[in-house]
Amino acid sequence: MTAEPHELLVQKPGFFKSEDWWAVWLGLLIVALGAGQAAGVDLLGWVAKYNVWSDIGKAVAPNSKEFAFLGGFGSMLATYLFLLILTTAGAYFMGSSVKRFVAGFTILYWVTVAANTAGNFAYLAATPNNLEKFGIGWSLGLGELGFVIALVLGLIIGNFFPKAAAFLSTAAKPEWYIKTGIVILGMTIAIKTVGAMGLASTVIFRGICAVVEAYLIYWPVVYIIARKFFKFTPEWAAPMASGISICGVAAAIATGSAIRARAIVPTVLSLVIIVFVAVELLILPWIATTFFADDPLVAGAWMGLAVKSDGGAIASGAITDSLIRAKALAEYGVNYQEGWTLMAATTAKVFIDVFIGIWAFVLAVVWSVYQIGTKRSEGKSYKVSFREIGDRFPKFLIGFLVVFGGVFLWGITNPDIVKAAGAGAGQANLLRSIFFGLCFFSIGLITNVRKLWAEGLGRIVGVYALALFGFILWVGLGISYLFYHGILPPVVAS
Amino acid sequence: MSDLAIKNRTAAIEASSYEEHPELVQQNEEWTDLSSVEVKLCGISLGLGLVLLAVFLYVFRS
Repeated sequence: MTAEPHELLVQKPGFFKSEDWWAVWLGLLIVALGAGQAAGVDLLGWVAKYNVWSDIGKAVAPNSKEFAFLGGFGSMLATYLFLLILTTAGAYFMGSSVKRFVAGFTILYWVTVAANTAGNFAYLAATPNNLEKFGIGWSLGLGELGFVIALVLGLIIGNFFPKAAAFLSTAAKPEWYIKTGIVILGMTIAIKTVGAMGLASTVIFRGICAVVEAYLIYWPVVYIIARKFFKFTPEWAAPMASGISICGVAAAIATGSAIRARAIVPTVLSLVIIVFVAVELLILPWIATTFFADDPLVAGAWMGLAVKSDGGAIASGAITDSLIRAKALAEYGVNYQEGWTLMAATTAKVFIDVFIGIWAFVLAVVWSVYQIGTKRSEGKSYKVSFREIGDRFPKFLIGFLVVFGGVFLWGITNPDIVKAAGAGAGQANLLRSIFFGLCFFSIGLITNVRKLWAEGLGRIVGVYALALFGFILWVGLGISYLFYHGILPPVVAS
Repeated sequence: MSDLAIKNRTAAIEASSYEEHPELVQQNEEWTDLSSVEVKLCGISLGLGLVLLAVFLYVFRS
């Protein structure tokens, strides 16, 4: 059995041929539509809003009263058609089979809708202050469980129904969905930053410091473990160290490219990374909530530093945000503003992605100058290609920074529009949430635990497990605690 | 056959059917110990990380 090249390795260059760029285009379009609110035009009022419910008839509704005539199902259908058209256009330009994509996306979307709705059932999601409103006497108060339900459904299909998973694989694109979501998230974070400049700049600055710290400490330790104790060559150990220590598949590919490793190296590594991301996603948010409900930003930054993919980290940040707010309200009577835990996770992840480019460049120079490696590089030098490293730079970050910077400057220079732009960001956020849900389900679908055994990847699993559970989680937690302890999100009236 | 014996046998069968990925087997032959450059790179990275940790903490606390 051989591993297929990871999708990031086979991405074609060009503004309309890669997932990264399509994440930028879709994100920018949705942000632009949301920004219509600032001009007094409601362009996203028809998007479905999922509510906590005890009466199923109230579970979903259009987010704006002007579109109330659509009803819940009408708004879900309108949202489906809107997303289907946009994503199918992207899939077409990226060379996917349109028929298969449309069929797969349709199933993905409605399963995500079902998971979102189930996760908002009042007995699961209602917070203590809302029990009376829903006419119930108790609730698990777990926040919005829709993401987790989507992930578990994906895992079940991915591991027990391989034919169904193969059929859905054309549309199961977790990185594309999460990157689109991150670009959209730039608008919400910008509005938050305008509204709470001091706190937001603290979160962002400390996020940069935490990332630099974590990368400099994680990388050499994982590299030495892989080289010394598990007997990997530099060609394997360097991408492994980048992939395991900080940012999963993207980092493994960027490093592999920088040191001229063969494409099979990051491809094989990606199989292991994806499985561990799913495991972390299922465990870490609950651990973080158990121990850090009174320190939400520590929990958020920890998710950003510990979970090894853009999708996994942001997704676990979203779950943690929801769980912690519910727990803090239930246990301490504190109603934290939504999104700050997620912002801490996102900040860490975004700067990690930036740092990958810098680190890949450092490694490219070292490998080129000192000819590290085996017979592959003996006596041969190669030029460090800025272009190649630039090609590997995650383009969706450009979209995120453009949205963040643009909305931030807009809000700072025109305080009058902040409230309306905030409402627009809220509408765009509803679509962001659907992209996150699609990502969770897709992560589950492509996570095939049994394949690790079949591929004979036990030794890589060994390095990963030892590094992750031996020190990465705890060093990441330590750094998050040292840098974010005592910095609390704003509190809103409950 | 006792439960324990069955478990042991199953484990033995599973272990015997495990074959490491051919690319990993191939790289075993190319393995050499850490070179001085690699040790230096790891040392600098770790050292810089620890120094910066102290600097950041000082800045944040002051």
